[in-house]
Amino acid sequence: MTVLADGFALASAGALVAGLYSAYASVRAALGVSSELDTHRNVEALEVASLRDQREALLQTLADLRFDHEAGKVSDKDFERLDRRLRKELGGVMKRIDTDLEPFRDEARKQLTDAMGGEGSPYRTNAGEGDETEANVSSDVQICSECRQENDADAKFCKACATPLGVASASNSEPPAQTKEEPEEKQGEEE
Amino acid sequence: MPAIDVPIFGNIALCLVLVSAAYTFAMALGAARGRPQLLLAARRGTYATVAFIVVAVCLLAYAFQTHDFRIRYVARYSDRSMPWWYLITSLWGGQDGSLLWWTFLLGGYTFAVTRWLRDRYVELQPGIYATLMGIIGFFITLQLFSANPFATTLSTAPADGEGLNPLLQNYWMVIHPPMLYLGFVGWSVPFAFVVSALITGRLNEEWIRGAHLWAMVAWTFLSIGLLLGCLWSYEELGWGGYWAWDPVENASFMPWLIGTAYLHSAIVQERYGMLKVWNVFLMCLTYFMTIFGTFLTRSGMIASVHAFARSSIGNYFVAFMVVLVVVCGGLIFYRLPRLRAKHKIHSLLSREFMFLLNNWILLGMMIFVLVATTWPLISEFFRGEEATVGPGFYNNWMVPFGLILLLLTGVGPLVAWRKATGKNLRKAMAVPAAVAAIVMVLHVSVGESLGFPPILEREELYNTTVGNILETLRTFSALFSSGICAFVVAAISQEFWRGAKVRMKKGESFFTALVRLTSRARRRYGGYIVHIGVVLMYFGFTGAAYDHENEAALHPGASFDVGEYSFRYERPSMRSDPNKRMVFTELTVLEDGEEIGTVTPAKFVYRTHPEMPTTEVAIRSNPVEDLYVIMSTVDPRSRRATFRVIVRPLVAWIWIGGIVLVLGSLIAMWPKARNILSAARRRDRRKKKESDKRASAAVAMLLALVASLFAPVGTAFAQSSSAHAGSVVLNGSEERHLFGRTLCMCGDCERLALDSCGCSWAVDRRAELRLQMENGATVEELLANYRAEYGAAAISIPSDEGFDRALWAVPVALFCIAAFFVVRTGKRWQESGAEGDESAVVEGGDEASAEEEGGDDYNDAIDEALARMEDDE
Repeated sequence: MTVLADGFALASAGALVAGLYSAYASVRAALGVSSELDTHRNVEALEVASLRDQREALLQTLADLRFDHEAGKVSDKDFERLDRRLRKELGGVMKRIDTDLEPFRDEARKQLTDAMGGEGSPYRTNAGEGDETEANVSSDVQICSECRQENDADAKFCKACATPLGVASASNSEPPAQTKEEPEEKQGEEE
Repeated sequence: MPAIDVPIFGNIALCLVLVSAAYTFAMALGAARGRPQLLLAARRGTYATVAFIVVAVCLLAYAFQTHDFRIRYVARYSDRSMPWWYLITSLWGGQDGSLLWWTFLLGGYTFAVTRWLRDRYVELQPGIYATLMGIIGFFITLQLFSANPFATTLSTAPADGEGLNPLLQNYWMVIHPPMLYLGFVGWSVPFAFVVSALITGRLNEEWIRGAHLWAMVAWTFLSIGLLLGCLWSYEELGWGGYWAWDPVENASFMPWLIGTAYLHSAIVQERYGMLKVWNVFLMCLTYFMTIFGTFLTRSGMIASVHAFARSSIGNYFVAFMVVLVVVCGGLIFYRLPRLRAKHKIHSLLSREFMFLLNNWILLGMMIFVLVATTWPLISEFFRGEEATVGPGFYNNWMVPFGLILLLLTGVGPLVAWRKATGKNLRKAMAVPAAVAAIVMVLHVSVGESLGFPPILEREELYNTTVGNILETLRTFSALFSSGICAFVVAAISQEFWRGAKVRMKKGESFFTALVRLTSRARRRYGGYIVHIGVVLMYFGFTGAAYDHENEAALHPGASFDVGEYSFRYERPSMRSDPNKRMVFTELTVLEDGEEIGTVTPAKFVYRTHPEMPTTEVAIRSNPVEDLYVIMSTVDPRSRRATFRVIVRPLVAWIWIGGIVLVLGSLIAMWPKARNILSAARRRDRRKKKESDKRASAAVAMLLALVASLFAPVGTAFAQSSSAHAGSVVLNGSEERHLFGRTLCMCGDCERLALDSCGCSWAVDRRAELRLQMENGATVEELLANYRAEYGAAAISIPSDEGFDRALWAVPVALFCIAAFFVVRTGKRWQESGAEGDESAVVEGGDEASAEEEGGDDYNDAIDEALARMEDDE
């Protein structure tokens, strides 16, 4: 029984630590000083992820509709109309997924060729973790044009003055997202 | 003296939760207002909030384990002799702690949904977090200011606590209340989805899809909770029934009804984008009913055997409900223009319209139960006189509703979407209708000889036309329900058969086809299985109409008959353990003169509460009927004992049906769960660490679940007392009628009818009434006198005259008005639908262009994906 009591005491202490840490991490994120890759991934790549969910849901609806049609629960005419509508919508979603992923695909192809080209495996893992992008392979930092503040290579906005940074590189400066989405895409297709 | 100063730390923990929830709320709002980087802050804020809740719960658990009797709550619900598991369950044994437990479960859901949402429904996330934090904030405020579980005793700490009511230390209390809580709390999540959808204006099918899994989880837990409640009531309370229409039962039944309605109408929106306003409304109403139900039972507003003591937290709940109504109402009104339907119903004979009818019935039932449950309040408000509504009222009025609903579960799946043709429908209905007809003919011809006569005996509810109509309906209900049950089972089997046939064309064997069919469209076929479960349960309920009941006072060796059985009283025996004294009585059961076994009903007298002997029922159950044996009294010296035996057919089918229902809903939920797993797998490849986190999250949730599974004692029943629930020997139907409607007014055992109350006050009243009856008074006169003497609250079924009539007239009127609206809406849809039908092609074209960047070139990819889905599952 005392063991149990101690257990609860420890658990509450542990939970307290976890809570305080989460609160700390949260405040850091809110202030924009969080250095974790999460920040970018959550904000950016999420769109693709939710598009993927939409695609799954629409596919399921379409399959249901087909099944109802085969079972005679939906008339031919109605089926055609709904089927067309759903396909349009689904096509739109798939197209947007492809468009969003296109830069990453190119990037991946490029890095793959580079890696195969000679530097061996360390380079590949590096690319996977990804601070380096096509646009600024050479530098780890970028300098804000307004206030000359040094920012992370993949930052989209200056941390000092919030000026948008490197518009050209912003759209494809998401290597973490790339490493995420590529296998996911394949997985999705396997299903 | 314990090592940790729990009261102070506990209060600090509660404050931390409140601060953290408020902070997260603000972050989420910021994220919603276009500052996406705050979303991450909000997510971490929810984790922090949940962690602080865990701190508070663990502190309270620690206080229980270390017997920190400075804390009032600990002193009141535990004592030093209690084993550790009851010390854990005491966490939610009373009002204050159960509110913390409620918050804890909500925290568990919040944690799970935050993990789940990781990369889903980004736009909805801020609103979801904000809503959940708002709810947590409310419950914590409630605890800090009104029902603080860490409050200390004013004087010095007592040497020992008061201990838990021994009645609550039993097996069924282990699982029932936590399950019900999980069901209640669970609706917060889909509610958060809908609020978020309203805030962001993303009112297409997105939120429905997101909320679906969570609504199913909540619905399943709520169903399990209700079922376990029935089981507990049947096996432990010893009054012979499983559902008493008690306010607490109704409070959990109402959200179930609305939630069921929502689950159905959501399907329509998912496919055709219709009923948007309606779904939003239903979801808000479901959540509102969970809070309202909690309010009813927690505030002590309505007398109930389950209720908590009257307390001030009612005011907080009223405030919360007002906020809910204002916020939800305001948001719905504000978003009304965006909630217009894009598509129209084509015909009154369509699946969509069937769903509408289903909603109509479920909502009608809810209104009925709602009015009847709150009748005591309504009555007091309008005429300053308390009133009571007993189970007899509900049982009679629910018959027609139940039959229509049951019929719809069978007809609905047969009707095609959009526009069913008469020919197709006739074809689909032919077999089920034939089966139903055969079963009804069988029932009429052989039912009588099997002990299931198709026409029931009359037992008037009212002495008026309405009472007559209801009574006629009720007498035929057995025949109708056997027919309808057969129809539904046949219809659903036919659905499976037809589905399998489609697949068998592709060369699969029947069995493979059936399994694959179900696994491919789990949601639909899972739903059908749930329907089967409902039918089985209904079948079980009808058994109550064929009860045989008998009571007798016997000396050892004597016997008495009930139905085809006879019972021989052998001997009493006594045993005792440190906790209680037990008196068993052994009876031999004989069927047609042959011994088939023994039963031993008992009375337990707990040392701590000698004034409350508990009745331990003996039940012999088989699929055909249950023998339910109650020992009411036993005299240790003369060994004379009184018994009451109920032979109730088909009860087992209620539990079987319940299991089928839960299985069906698990099947229906499964694909989404699989998605979660596969999502975890995906991430696993990406980043092992995260999947570890996820796994630990899952384990934590599972542990919480298991903990709730194995934790006895219920809050909801914190003050249930079977002290009075004994049994009484009644002679003849007139007495039964009279004592069934007159309630014991001794002040200690409200709402118990004289036919079951065993307290001395009731004994005196019964003697008095019997004397008057012998002197020639009619039951009506006696009821009128009783009412005049003790007030309307003393009569369990309000009469059908004057103000009392409003009790049924108002819901019925609302129901009819709703019917008018349903038909009108259907008609309107039909008219505009007819136009739409002709211009279907054009419309289709329009839509295509409206879908902006639609890609025709994806047709092949789509076909491929569909083919893969087929193979995969």
